[in-house]
Amino acid sequence: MNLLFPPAAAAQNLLERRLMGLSILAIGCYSLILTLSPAVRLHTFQVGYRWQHWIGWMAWAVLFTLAYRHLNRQFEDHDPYLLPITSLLSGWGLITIYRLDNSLGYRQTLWLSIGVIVLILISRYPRVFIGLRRYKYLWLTIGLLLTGLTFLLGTYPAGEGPRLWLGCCGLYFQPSEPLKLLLVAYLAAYLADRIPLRFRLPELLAPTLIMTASAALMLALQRDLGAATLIIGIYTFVIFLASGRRRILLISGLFLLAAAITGTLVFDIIRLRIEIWLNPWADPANRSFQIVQSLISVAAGRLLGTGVGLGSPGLVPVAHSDFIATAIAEESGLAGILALIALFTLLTYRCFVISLTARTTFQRFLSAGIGVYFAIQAILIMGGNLRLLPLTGVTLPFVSYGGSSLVTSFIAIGMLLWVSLPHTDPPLPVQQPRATTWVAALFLAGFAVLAAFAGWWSIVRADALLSRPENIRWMVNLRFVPRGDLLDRSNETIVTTTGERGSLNRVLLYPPLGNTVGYINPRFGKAGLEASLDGYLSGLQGNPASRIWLAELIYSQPPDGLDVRLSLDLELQRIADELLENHRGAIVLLNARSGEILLIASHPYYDPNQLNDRYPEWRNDPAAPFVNRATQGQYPTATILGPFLYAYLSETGSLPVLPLNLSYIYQNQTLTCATPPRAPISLETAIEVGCPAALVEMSRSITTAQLRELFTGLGFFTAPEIRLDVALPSQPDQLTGSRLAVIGKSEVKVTPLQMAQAAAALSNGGLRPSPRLAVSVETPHQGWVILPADSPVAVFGNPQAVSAAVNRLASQNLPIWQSVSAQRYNSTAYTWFIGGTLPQWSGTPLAIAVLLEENNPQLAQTIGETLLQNALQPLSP
Amino acid sequence: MSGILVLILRILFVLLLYVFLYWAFSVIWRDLRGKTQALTHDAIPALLITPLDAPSEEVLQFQTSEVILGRDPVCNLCVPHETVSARHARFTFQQNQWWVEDLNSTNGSFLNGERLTTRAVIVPGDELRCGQIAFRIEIEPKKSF
Repeated sequence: MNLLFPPAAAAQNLLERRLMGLSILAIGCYSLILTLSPAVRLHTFQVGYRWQHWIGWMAWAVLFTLAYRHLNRQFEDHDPYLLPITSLLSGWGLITIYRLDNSLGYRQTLWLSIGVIVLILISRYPRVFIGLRRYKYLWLTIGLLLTGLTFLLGTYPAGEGPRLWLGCCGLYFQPSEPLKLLLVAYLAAYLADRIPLRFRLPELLAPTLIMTASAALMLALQRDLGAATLIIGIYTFVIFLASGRRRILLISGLFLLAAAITGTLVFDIIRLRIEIWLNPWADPANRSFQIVQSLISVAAGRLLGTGVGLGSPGLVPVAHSDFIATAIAEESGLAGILALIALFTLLTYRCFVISLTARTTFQRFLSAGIGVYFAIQAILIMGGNLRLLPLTGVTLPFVSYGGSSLVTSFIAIGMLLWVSLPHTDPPLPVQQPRATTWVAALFLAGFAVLAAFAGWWSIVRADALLSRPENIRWMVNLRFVPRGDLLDRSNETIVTTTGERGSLNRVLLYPPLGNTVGYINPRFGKAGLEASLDGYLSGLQGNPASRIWLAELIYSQPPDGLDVRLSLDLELQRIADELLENHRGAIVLLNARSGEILLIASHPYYDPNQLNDRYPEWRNDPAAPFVNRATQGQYPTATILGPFLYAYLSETGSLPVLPLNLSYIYQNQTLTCATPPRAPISLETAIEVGCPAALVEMSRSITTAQLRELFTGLGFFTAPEIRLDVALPSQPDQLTGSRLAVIGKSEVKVTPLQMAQAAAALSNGGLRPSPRLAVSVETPHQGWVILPADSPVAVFGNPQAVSAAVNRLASQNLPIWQSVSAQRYNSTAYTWFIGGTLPQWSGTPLAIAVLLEENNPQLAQTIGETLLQNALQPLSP
Repeated sequence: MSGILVLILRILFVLLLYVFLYWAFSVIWRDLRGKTQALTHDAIPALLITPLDAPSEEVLQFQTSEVILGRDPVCNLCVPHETVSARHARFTFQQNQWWVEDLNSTNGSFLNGERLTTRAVIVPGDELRCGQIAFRIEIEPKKSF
């Protein structure tokens, strides 16, 4: 270190050398983390490392070495804190900017070089400060004119935006930045001329107020509200320091409040800012996107931060300028942001100490004004980032991207170094010692509140913020952390993750399950099982807490996702999808005892693998492929409810006699059986083909209240507890009359899944099982862990009576019961098929519901019988 | 492996930041303590005031930077005599010297017989009369530290 920073004669040189050395080491360490970050993200050393920012680091180190040597020659015994603080802040900012955007990093390196060279130059010719004092009006007027010029010639370097910049050909500067410093110099010079003569507040205020107000007004007209607030703040505090009238703080505070209130009423942009600040959660996706993302980013940092290059601060818009403190908070954590706040506190403190020991009144107010300038700017922008204050677009001195701000800050540091030179004159009397104490205490309190807010968001509220839907870090993890697979009941893979870390891709191997499995996609979000099982699949649930904690600590990623086994049987599923091909409809087949869904089909379906290309096409498709018809499609019950009524009436012993005419005329429309019933015609065979007259006859023996009770038991009024989006169930009061209900003309509508679980009750001795799709999850320590399922519901009171009734409904050729019905509703016809194993069946009891959006009882029957027949073969283990 | 290496670096970075801050703040703290100590009693040479007319010639010693003499009991040096005003005179230690000034007293203060109109520097052996009460003032030699 002695090589870079040779010892000098100054008394405090040892401290300065040590601090400079630490600063070089710290930023070197930071750069090294950034270089290694791809290796951490991808869990391997065979990666492309990041090297570009070392150019910035080299330039930064060389520039500050030069500045150190030069200052120790030119300004012996200068303040030993300023240069190290400046170097640490600007180095930290520079590497962070490289991390966010390399091309901006190169530009910032250029601006840093200009800034440090200007610092060296003005320390060589300190006479410029005397000129600044003498021609104060000239300088400030030039500053105002340049700012005014932006009205005519202003541009926005990066395309569309506020036109606050001057320049051309790739080199732009913002005149409002030097204007702030010129105002400080002007105020200091004016006060220095006035105070020794006679001190009267009105005289003091008149010319300065005009100059300041014109500057603030000009900036306000340009919509540069941050700069306008800053200028009012600087003016208030400097005048307060000179006069010691607490009234000034009060008046200025009230003025700012009044300006904010009128601004809210008159200008949209101010109202927007204030509303966003007061309630960012109202519209987190649009208007308050930036601040909500900023808070989530701070929360993602927690205590230690993710490490530079390992977080996702780029999710916050313009992270490199307005939100650089957020980027630092995410990647260096609360520890980092507290250090940043402490550095600004230290800088402000040094400004005031230098001010108190200054040789002349001009120097005193100059350094105090610069302290105010740094402190207000830091508090305004960091407060805006942490939602302590409404957001104002000012830069964080030395850290944010922005050339004008950086160069201005270096000039200010040059002035401070000049003021800090020791002198032998008697100390100046402090006119208002209490004012200085007050201002210092106020800023200290401001920084303390900032620190408290940082802690609040990154520790106390971290979990709540990170679990918000606006947290889109899962999109990044999708590419870097292998997601768990979804398997069928015989461990055949349904969904898997392919590719290497960094370019991982989610693939659905069996696309017809698209509606059920759903997708996880950065553009379209999450749906289906991918959404409901996201906790396990992403590794944030099911893994031991210690494992998650360790993965987050070391890799800043969740651990690898866990595989989930589904109850589906891909073989049956394939048969079902083949049978349903080119038809609209849905099939659900489940284990009538355990409720495990063996197949769930919905046609037409979408293929999640092609989501990016075909999303709009599917979105506008009248066939609605995104709807999972099995769980979300609600259909009138037609005349399919016969078996349920039959079982119910058998239990109560009040079965009717079958009328001769099997059709039924409802509102001039003849309702018929789905197919002619087989001989001998009986109530049972009429129910098998959904003959309306049979149902109407049965409905005479059942009251509306009883039917409502039966429907409740069958689960028609409750949404199935399953890890899929289900339709909102019908309400009991939609069942108005038993006759209308049994011929499917009431408002009660049922999904195929609800129908299948109701059918399961008949095959399972009157007990309706709770459906389940996700069976178990493979945890690292305990192997396959069964996911909990709900207990079954008793629909019928007497299992023997129900079983006997279902046996009477047995089909001709197969050991099953079944019922089919097809009815027309307005323009569409619906065909239902339900069926299941008979109660005495010794194998696994099964139940099925088939729905077709067409009049096709033959197909429905074929599908139902084929699937049941295939499923009756002993299930593969 | 890469994660652990970088974790160590991350911790090192935070440590370096805090060592920087610790060093800076500890030096400031030491400076401040040094300055306050220089301003507190250790650095102030004690002011010794001996009432000349009192029966017992007891010596009063003061080491605060301000001493107020008066009839009022709240004064540092309380002199219950009717010719002494409630707040009569003030001794202050400033710029390495003890000063005395009259606080607009009714009967005036006299340093070595001369009436005090402005602040005056005290040298050891001076005699101060407030009303009808006279004191001799000594200053303890400055301690070296």
